[in-house]
Amino acid sequence: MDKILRINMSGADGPQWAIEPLGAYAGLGGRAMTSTVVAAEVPPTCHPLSAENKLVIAPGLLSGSAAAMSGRISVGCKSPLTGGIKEANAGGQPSQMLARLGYAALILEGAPQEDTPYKVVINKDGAFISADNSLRMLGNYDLVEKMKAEFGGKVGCISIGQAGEMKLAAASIAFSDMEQRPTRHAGRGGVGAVMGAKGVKVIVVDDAGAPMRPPKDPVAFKAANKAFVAGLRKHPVTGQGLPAYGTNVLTNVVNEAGGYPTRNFQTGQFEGASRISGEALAELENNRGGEGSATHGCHRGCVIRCSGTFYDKNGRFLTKQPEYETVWAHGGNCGIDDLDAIAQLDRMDDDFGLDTIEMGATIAVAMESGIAQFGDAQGAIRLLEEVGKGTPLGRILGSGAAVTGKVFGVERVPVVKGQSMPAYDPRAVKGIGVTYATTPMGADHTAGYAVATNLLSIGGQVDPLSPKGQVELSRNLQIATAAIDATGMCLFIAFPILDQPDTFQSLLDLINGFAGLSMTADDVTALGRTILKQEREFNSAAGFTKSHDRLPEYLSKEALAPHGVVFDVSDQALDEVYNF
Amino acid sequence: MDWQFHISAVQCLVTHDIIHSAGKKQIHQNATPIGGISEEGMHTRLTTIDIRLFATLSRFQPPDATHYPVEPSITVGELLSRMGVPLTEVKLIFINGVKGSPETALNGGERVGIFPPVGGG
Repeated sequence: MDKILRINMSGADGPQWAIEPLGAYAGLGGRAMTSTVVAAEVPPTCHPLSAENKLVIAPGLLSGSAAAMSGRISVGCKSPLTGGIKEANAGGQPSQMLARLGYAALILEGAPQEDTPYKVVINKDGAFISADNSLRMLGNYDLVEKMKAEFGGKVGCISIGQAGEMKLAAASIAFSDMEQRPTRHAGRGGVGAVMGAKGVKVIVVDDAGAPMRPPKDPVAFKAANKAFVAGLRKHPVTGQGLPAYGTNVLTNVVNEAGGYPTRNFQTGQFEGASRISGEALAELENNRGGEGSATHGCHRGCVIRCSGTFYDKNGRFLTKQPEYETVWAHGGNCGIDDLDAIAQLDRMDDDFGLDTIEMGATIAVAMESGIAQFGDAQGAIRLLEEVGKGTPLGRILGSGAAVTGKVFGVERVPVVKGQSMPAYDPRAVKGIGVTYATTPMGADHTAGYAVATNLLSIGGQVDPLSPKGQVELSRNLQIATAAIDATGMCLFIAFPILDQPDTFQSLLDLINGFAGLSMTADDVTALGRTILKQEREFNSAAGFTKSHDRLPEYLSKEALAPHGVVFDVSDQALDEVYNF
Repeated sequence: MDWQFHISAVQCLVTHDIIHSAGKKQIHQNATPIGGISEEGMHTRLTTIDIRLFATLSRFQPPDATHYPVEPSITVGELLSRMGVPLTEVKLIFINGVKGSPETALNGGERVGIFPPVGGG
């Protein structure tokens, strides 16, 4: 990873590409790369859909090596949903492939002069860019099938569906998985709309002839990788719970804890939770059988394998195993307890190229307004179809929960910085509320997953119902997460490294053995702080103030059942999160 | 789930005579009004809880989980041992949505959730 591929879509004679040395960006990966490039090159006040915005796609530092779990890829830009800096990351195959081709980043900039969908092919000989009108308004599934027919069964695809082409603020970018399906998404913040604004429909990555990235110290690297994998297998969450039940194992936990946002955050427990839980989903998948049914990785080199494959009642592939956040967003948050309907909605989101969290939250807001009824699965499917078709109603919904709430006059809209909250009610899980309020990303659970310590007793214990200790918890997790997001490691390694010091050490040894460095835990913390400060400065220059680091007011007024709690971390305390 | 329902169900029911056989409880339910004293005045009065065991622990879920009989003031740890649940596999205990521990005593009427170590997100 010693070069950057820069594609300028603005050229008078069509898009131009150039391969550049890393220069000031040397040593950066993943979120460290995307946020540094965006902070350095994108004017904070630009319109997110303008030629001035840039889309940065960066494999993690360890991607393309033999390090386990290193297949995450980061996407950065100024977000059309939040108006602030954005990093969204995904699994799938392209991270390893781009890294093996030697690219530390792919930067799309400018904007094409004509409204033509472009196809970019990246292989060992460089980049090839062509206009292809036959791709216009294809869903991700048809698009990837077409690329497979054209380029063979081994290429990876980075693509947008109809939502990205329509530049909708809930649009995602899809990354193809091991089966060449567009199931792994950089979902949040409307990154797909920025790709659409650049006129790029699909990036085909062909790593034929590209070798695996060699470590600087092969002996130390190999030993560290072995110890790291052993640590992941030893920890019950990454070794047993996640492979068996997937991320959706959380449904019952969060519901038992009374923090499961139900029917647009009206209550903290859903009476249908057990019917859509990870246990129920695994049972259904195991009964239906089929390849990769209940336990499957999202990319080669994954040893946790928290994903799975969802087949419909007739045994036909429908979608990947829906994640916890998706099952919540389209399930409990909409009062829906039907796994087949939820899987159908997941498939539609992946095909249209939409963030499942934003769409579930949006449909719930629409339900609160009365345009559909809570619990009406077919109604939810019809609303999502509108988005794919691009009807006026569909475009409103595809613009996210905040816009939908405004259009339909709904007060209770669970967003921060315009981005919808995920599957934990901040009143009953106050640590995650602090993260929602203060992360530069807008409401985002992955930015500082205080749920681990609040509910799951991982990395210690902090009472979820008390405001005490939440600021420090969220701050430390936000710093650690920013650093992990730079490595290309799946965030789920956090469960073992928070609990097992030796596994944390083997992660450090792995990075050091790969890069020939001697980083310590303090260096990792420093990296996390640098990334966060940079992101925060971008937002500040874009017009964000401390008044944007707040949850919607109703969450501090309306008590949540069953605990009867409101969000009561003070504004003053929230303003302390970034004092480091 | 409606906890009030379980509490009222408990109030209608007084049971006595617990027989332990092979670690499994058999209960003879002789319904008498609440506050009634059993004939001998010696037998333990039972109440019920709503207990749910999740993920890998779901194999211990009893068929009468929503009105599972317990002696008042039994601790969660004692209860789980009696049910044959290995405490080493138990990581999270929720009692009416609040974190508990094996030492937490139950009064009856509670909703109890038991989990092995889990995570996701």
